[in-house]
Amino acid sequence: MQPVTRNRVVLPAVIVGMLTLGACGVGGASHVVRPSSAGVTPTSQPTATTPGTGAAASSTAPAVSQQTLSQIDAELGALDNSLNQANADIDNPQGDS
Amino acid sequence: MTTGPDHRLARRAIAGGLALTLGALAAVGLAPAAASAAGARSSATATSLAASTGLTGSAGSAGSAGSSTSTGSSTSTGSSPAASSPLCTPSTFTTAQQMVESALAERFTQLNALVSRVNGSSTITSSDKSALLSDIQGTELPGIQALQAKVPTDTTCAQLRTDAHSMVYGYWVYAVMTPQTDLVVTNDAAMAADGLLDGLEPAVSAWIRNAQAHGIDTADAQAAFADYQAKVTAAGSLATTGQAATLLAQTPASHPATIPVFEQARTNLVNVADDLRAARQDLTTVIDDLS
Repeated sequence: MQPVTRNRVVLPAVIVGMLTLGACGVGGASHVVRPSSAGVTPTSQPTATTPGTGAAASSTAPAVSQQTLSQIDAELGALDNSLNQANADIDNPQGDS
Repeated sequence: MTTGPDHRLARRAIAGGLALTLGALAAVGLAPAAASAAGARSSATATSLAASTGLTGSAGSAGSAGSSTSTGSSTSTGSSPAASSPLCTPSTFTTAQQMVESALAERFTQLNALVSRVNGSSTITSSDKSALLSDIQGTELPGIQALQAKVPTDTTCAQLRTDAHSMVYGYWVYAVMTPQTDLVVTNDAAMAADGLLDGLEPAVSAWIRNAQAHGIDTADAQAAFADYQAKVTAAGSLATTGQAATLLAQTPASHPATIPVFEQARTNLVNVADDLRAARQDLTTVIDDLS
């Protein structure tokens, strides 16, 4: 029974320690990763801030997620397709005949 | 933002749509003498189509397939099957009948394609979808199908002429229904994209302010964001001007007054697409500048 009791005490302590280190930025980047090149969109979530860094981190955190940018691009692509369809039908009404 | 060529294309293309339908009419002697300015521009096409079917040069017939009395020229109001150059004669009746049947089948196919297009749009509003499907499935398709059932039973040029006239002037599948459907679907796609971009403005604005507060040079980002806001606002004008409602108000009965409406709508949509693409580029500039 003793080992079990000891584990129950030690495990939460380890977790708390890991969380503390994580909050301090130990073992990982506390700032948002920059795009690898111009024109490349950010990959992190829009308004995420890193615990422990506060406003300093949010000043460089992208306001728009990659997922949102992909959705915008998809909708603009759909718009272009739709416009092309309209152009094709209007420009060549004999196409179906 | 250069839309001149597209605008001219739209004008020419819509006239072309009229040419097709008038061409079908011409095959059975129903091409109106002066349906519209666009119709006048399409006379060459109508003649060409008629010639290709061997139906040109006949005296024409206003009555049964056995007669050959010319009806003379007329001005068309779209309300009666008047003919300026009757081409259906006893010897060409079967060919003309087959041509009308073919034209009806093409319209049936086109209308079903429009239904698929509406149902396939993920951004069309429910009210616009309902309005379009009501017109296409509730009026156009049943009407064309009724003609498809009737034309094979026609025995005279007069009957055929009446049905061909109804096929074109009653439904305007290519000249009204097709551009109307395309443009409404495109309009709603533009509004969806605009709404998405518009919804990002608070977050992007806050991002820039926050960067400024931390001493970051945001001049380029601010300039790009100002342009972003202007472009998104301009694109949103389609919603405030009610373009979808204007498009949906067009009917076969109002053709050819529909032509300038469709022309304007396409020009607007080309401009909006340009604005939205520019806004997307502005967003990239902001991200690059602040990241």
